[in-house]
Amino acid sequence: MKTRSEKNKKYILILTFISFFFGSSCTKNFESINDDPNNPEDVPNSYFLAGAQRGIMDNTIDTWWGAQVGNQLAQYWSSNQYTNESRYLFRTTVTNDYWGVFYSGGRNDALVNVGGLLELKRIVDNCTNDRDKSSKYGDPDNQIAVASILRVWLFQNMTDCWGDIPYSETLDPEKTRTPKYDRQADIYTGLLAEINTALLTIKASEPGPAGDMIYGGDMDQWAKFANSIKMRLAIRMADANGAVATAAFNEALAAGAFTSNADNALLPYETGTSYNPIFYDNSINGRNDYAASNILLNILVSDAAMGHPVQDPRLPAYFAPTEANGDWVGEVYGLSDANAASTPNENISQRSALVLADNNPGIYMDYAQIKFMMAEAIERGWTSGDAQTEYNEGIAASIEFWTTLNGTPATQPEIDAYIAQDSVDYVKQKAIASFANDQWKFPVGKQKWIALYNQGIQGWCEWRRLDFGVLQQPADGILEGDDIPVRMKYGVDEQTLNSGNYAAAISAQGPDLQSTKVWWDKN
Amino acid sequence: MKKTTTIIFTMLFSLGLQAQDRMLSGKVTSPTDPEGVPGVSVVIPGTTKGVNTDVFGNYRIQVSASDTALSFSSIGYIAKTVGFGATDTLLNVVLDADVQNISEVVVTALGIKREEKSLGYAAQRVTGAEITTAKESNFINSLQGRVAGVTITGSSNIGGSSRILLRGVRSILYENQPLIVVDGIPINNSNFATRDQVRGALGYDYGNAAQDINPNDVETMNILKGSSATALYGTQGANGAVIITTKKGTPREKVEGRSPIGIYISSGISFRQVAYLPKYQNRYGGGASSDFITSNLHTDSLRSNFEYDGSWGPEMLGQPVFQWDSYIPSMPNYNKQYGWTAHPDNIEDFFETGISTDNQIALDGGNENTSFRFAYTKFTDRGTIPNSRINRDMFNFSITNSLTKQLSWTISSNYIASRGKARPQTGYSNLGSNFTQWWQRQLDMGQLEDYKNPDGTQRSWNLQSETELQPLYWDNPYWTCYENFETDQRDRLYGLLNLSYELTKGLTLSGSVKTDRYNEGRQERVAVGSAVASSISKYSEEVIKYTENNYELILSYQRSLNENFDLSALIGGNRQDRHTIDNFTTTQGGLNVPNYYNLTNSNANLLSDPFTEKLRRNSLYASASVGFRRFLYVDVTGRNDWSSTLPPENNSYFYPSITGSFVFSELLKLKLLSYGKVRASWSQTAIDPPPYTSGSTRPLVTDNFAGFATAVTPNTSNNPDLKPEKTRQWEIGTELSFLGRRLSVDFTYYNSLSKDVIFPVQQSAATGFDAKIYNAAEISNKGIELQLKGTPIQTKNGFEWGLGMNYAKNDNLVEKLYVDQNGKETESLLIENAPFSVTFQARPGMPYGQIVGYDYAYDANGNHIIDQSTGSYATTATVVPLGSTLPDFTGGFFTWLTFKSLRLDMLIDFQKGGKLFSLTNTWGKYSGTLEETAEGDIRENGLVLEGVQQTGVDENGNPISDGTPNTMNIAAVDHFFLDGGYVVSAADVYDATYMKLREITLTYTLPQRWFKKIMLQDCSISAFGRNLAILNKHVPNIDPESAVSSNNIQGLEGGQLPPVRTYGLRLSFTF
Repeated sequence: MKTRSEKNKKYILILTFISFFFGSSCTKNFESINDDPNNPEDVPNSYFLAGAQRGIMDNTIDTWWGAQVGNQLAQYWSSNQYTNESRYLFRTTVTNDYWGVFYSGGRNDALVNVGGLLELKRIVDNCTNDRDKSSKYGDPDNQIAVASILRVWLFQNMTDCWGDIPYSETLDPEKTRTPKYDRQADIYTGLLAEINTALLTIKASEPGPAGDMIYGGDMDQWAKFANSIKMRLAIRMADANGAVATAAFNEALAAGAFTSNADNALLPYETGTSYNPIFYDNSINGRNDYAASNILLNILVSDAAMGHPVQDPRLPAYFAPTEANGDWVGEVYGLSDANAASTPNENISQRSALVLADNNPGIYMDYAQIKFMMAEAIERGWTSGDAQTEYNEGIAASIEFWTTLNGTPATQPEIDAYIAQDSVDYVKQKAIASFANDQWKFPVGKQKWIALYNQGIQGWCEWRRLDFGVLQQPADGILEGDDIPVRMKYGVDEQTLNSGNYAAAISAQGPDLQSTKVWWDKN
Repeated sequence: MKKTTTIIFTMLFSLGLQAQDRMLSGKVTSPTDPEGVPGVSVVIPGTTKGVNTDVFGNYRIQVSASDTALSFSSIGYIAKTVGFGATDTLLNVVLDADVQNISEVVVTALGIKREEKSLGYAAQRVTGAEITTAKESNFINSLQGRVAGVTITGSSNIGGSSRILLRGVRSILYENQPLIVVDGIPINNSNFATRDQVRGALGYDYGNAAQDINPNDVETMNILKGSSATALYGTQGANGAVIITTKKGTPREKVEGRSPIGIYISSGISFRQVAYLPKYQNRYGGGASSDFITSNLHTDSLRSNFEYDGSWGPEMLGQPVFQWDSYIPSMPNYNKQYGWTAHPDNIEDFFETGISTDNQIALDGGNENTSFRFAYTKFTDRGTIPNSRINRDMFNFSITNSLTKQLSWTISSNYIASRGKARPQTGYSNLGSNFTQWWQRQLDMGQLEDYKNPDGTQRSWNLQSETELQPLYWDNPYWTCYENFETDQRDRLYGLLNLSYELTKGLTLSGSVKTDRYNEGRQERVAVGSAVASSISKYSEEVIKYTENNYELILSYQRSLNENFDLSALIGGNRQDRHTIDNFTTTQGGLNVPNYYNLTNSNANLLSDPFTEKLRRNSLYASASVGFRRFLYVDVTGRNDWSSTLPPENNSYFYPSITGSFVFSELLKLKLLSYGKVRASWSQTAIDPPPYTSGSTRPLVTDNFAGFATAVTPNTSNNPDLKPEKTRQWEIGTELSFLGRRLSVDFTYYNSLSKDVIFPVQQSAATGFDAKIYNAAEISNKGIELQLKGTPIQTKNGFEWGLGMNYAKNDNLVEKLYVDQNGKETESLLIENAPFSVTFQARPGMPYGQIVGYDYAYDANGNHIIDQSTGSYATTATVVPLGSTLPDFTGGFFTWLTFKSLRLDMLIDFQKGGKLFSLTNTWGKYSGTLEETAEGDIRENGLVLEGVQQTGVDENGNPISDGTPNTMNIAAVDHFFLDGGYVVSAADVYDATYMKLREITLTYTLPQRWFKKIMLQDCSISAFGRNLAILNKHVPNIDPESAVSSNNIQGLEGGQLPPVRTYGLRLSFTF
């Protein structure tokens, strides 16, 4: 029989074993177990740049923001299902989500949650904090410049939609979780400063950034793009701060903006998996909720009675003839759901195959806009030149761009014939305009609007700024407010998450309504 | 021979004993507890020498040559004195239950068997018999209404998910369901559901993984509701536990004419039918307006508007018109006009009668040293949706063997092979959604059944145009079932190996290795030519590998200290390793070869989304339980977990609990009161966050885009200072039995507060991050649980009528969300977006799971304010909370009647309150398919909504009125467009209250004398029905029990498939 002490020893041994096994080695290997194998600590800057370039464009042109907001506000497309947006009743979920999308990429059901701003900030931070490491992906200064240019592009798009928005205190949650809203005037000042800094930072002799899908790292092109954006910033604030606008415009003009369609800032989309988001919506998701808007289509088709016998060469690039009989019939803009549904799709012109194609490029900015801005600057007396020539070249540039993209470039005689007709002719169009002193606004605004097709937010901005008419009240009545919106409402989350600053913004800018004008919209 | 064995036995085990003394050992069992009765007092009469049986009912006692008998006593059993021979060393005893004073033995945390009376917390038992007759394929559903305080939300879809909640919701993001343990093995109950599926958008419901547990093998289930009961389980037990004990082999006495091995055969078949469909209108057909469309192909003729997926079309009067199939050359109506007529049963016609069968054969047996059980169950299930089926093969094997008196080992293993095909999709855009939300009422299901053209292309009613014959939005429903189906396979093994060594009397060292592992494959298809992808067909594969291993070592001690005190104690440790791999791969850009479902058939690059997750938890624990004179008990437990998912400085946390029980009826011998006990407990538990949430905020590498590698920063930032979520709970309760157990009451009150609940605190998106994860929220749950059971009639001739009730009320409150440095509290936490209109939120000062959306605008007198530009209801300016999805109270009534061999059982269960948002109602009204859209002549005359005219808005933008009654007429179509849940969320937020006739079972046990000669011990036949009727509900057109997931997101109905009713028969034989 074992003695008691022997037995006790045995228990002590067992207890020791238990505590050793479970106790002393308790947290060994924990850090390696909890080291996330699914996501890396960091990635090359080029990944962020490509991600941001794609994300910003996707968010701008996709079915919710591009189609349901931008192309409705500009009346390029008509809804043929769920037509509330055509009648300017926007879903709160969409307006709220996209506020978040642009700032943070945050949209729950996003395919790709790239907002862009934070990714661009990572590039700037990485280049500032570790130049050596970052120089693997191009000259750090050039990377910073490119990131800044894209940031300015996006912030202008955002402030043009909402007016006063958080800008100076954004993207630094450690500093504040409730960024203040800056006045749009201050944002424009800031954006001009940022673009100027970027232009000074560019080192054309050094390598551009890797991961650049727009220009393949060509810094000369980035300089042109930056000057083009600067021009656009200047011209948009023309009525609000003419002095600053004039100076900035002329600086950009002297430094050199786009000089041909070859300079266009385009995001390539590809056949396969790198497709345009509208292709996704239409062909993969099977949605066909939009058709050609009669407002735009009727201006493009030939109509002798309207002094417009020559059809716009861009028509087949913009829209498709009806499936039923090949006619050009636009969907009446702003129908009720029931009325829209009563018209079979086959009897209505749809969006063109080009616009629905997987490889239709995303337009950051195109050359035609430069020409229209030139015409305007000349009319405003900011610079010298012939406004009509610039106007004609703008139309020609747009036709060339779209018809080339569509596979059948218009010939010069076709372009000339289009421009020569009464409904396009600069002088004749100016003459019929109802503006007291600024008759140029009608032809410049209208043709720029046509040229800005599928860049809905831009088309809508020009309509607000130049007041050239053309757009019409929704046929079956407007559902929110009394007129076509001149501003988007803030994301509703801001009412709770940033309530103090939201309230301050309203008291500074005016009620959070679609009818409240933004700073640069003076008429 | 027998003698020789005995001699050897004696020699082996009496070594070292003095000649006149010897060891006598044995096992005490009872008919209700064949595995052994623990804690039985074994004394030598006339002496003070005595021992208690261990947890397995075994005892050893030293007897002298003069001793001739032993007395066995235990509360709940009739005491017995049993004699033994002078050389006997083995004495097994069977005690009979004392029906006057029964105390059941229950299995508690870590498999510790305890007398029910000693428990200081609420535990409720369900026997296998209660759930196997009218068997549910998902065993969780069978708990519905049977247990107070258990909330089950079950799906009636084939293989669908069920969710179980004990005492409410404690965590916002993480698991709120209890731990499920089978014979000591923690069972994974993951869902791996997609986010879309959970929120009521489209997706397959692959069910919760615990449905692999075979009800046929269940002996008992013990529901440990509070965390005091489960604090010994640590993190995993924070939400309570369902402790399942499976059937084991029992030693069989040798009886003439009886099989040495028990054979049990059970066979069941059941039929399932669609029980409930929305109320459809049958007056107007498909289209957007009351006029037909002028056909392009047949000039001057009219055709139906087959592009529009709604039923605002022309009245169905039998008028001839070209319809969808008039344009399909291979269809009989090609180029023909035919009658525009109603087909009221078109939806019902689609569903088939589901048939499920389950057959089990089980063998068991053993002797005093070894017992085993083997069971095989074949389960087949054919759903009500065409082509859908699930088959499961389930094997269960367990063996226990005592190598020596000290050393025994147990192996328990289960293997389940599950195969599914064509499970229905749930949520928005699924078939259920199609039939009610986007349908044309004149469609004839018979014309759709032949869903393919001879060339293999699809025949859909929703053509793109007269000449483009591809589907526009909707596939033919048969195409969906037969071409776009999923398949899935799960092979699962769970089991344990246990070695147990009795070091000395009462002291046992036990080591176990436990595993639960499965491989699951899911394949989804979209055929070439489908509408959801007019050009993009698809094939995807998901491979899930899950492994959880537990290594456990326990040293337990049990003995009577003296006449007054009993002590049992244990100390142990566990290491848990969990590893999950979830790899999803899909084709992109379409399939190259139609009908060839293989990843190599991808047109563009494959997209893969691999995911790996590992966690380890190490634990040490101890418990001590002291019993005083078998009526006063105090238990103290403590456990410490170290979790790999937390930052090193916060990764250790402690779970204490103290519980007490006082059986006062032992002191107060009252005539009416047969049993009376009060209990109380307190505990603290904790939940660690999932792996990787406490690390740095890392970028995600996204897909390769146009030849460029891309990456994205996440929208939510992690928090390296994360701590575990902690819950403190206390409870008090009482159990009372009267009149010799004819009437019993069990009542519990509990109160718990969870702190440091982790959630992503939303912040202005302008910060660059939508949210940051914090330990911020506090959630409380307070409630009562009440069980009543009585047997009003019990006659000598064998007639018995009994009835009872379970009732539980839980008040959940989100006490606090994040408070920022300025003292401002987060006003709302968005947990999920429904596919349309509403969100699912947590808001401080309100119960968890608020449905948030736009409400009707009312004036001060409660009248609806009517928008005078449209004649429709005005809404609030901002979204407001519209109620919690959590019910106010739940419960069930049950009753039984027995007469001799006949037994009838009935179960009714109910839920009061809780909200749900119904998309079926939203879009069913919007698209004009539901009955209410065609009541009276509203489509012809329009209607004037009752309410007052809107005269403006107040400073908050909310509509106001001067009280003038509304007189504006609104067209019916506009009313249903503008006044449904799509615009006025509140219009389709409903009270989820229900009362259901859940189950009726009639069992007849054939008299034994009929089959005495054929070794048959027992034979019974049962007929049953489940989900027989909805006795009461408040939501129109759908079943309020609308769960489609086992996730925290509940109450978002996206497109319910009709619920089913089950009838069946079961036969069982025991040899």
